[in-house]
Amino acid sequence: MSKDNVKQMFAKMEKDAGFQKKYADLMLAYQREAEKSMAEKLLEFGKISGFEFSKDDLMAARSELMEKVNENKELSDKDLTSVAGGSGITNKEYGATLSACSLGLGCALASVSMEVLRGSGGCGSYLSSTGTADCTE
Amino acid sequence: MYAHQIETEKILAEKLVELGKTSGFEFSKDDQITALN
Repeated sequence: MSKDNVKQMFAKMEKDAGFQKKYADLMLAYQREAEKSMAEKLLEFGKISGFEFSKDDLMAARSELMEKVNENKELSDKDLTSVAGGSGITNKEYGATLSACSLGLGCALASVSMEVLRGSGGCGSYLSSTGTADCTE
Repeated sequence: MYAHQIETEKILAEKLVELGKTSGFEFSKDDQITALN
């Protein structure tokens, strides 16, 4: 066991396209699992909190939010409150949650990894499950 | 949210350990944390 092996594995990804694909496939599978798990937890949380909704409702609400983000519209406090569930969640916390849900925790972790190992991580660039370097800062 | 994050991070760490193992780079979850610090 060795931390050097961790670094060597990520170094291999920089040079080996096949290995990048393998990693991207793994991240995609992970992201799907994580999103499914999170949706189930949110449904359960909504149910016990008196806000019943389906997975489709959740996805529709998320799509609306992402459209706003993509249109570069600033989310109002009202938008955040209506989706985040009220006070107690700051914009920063909500942003982190939305980011983890929509972009994938894997991408976020990969970004951190590459920032440490290479000095620049962006949005995980090729390490993201989408395989793109598109960053929505 | 926190429970979900802990759970998904654990899954991700396990997947990375598995990827390393099948690719000739054996390391533990602790090694991943050490490498990032």
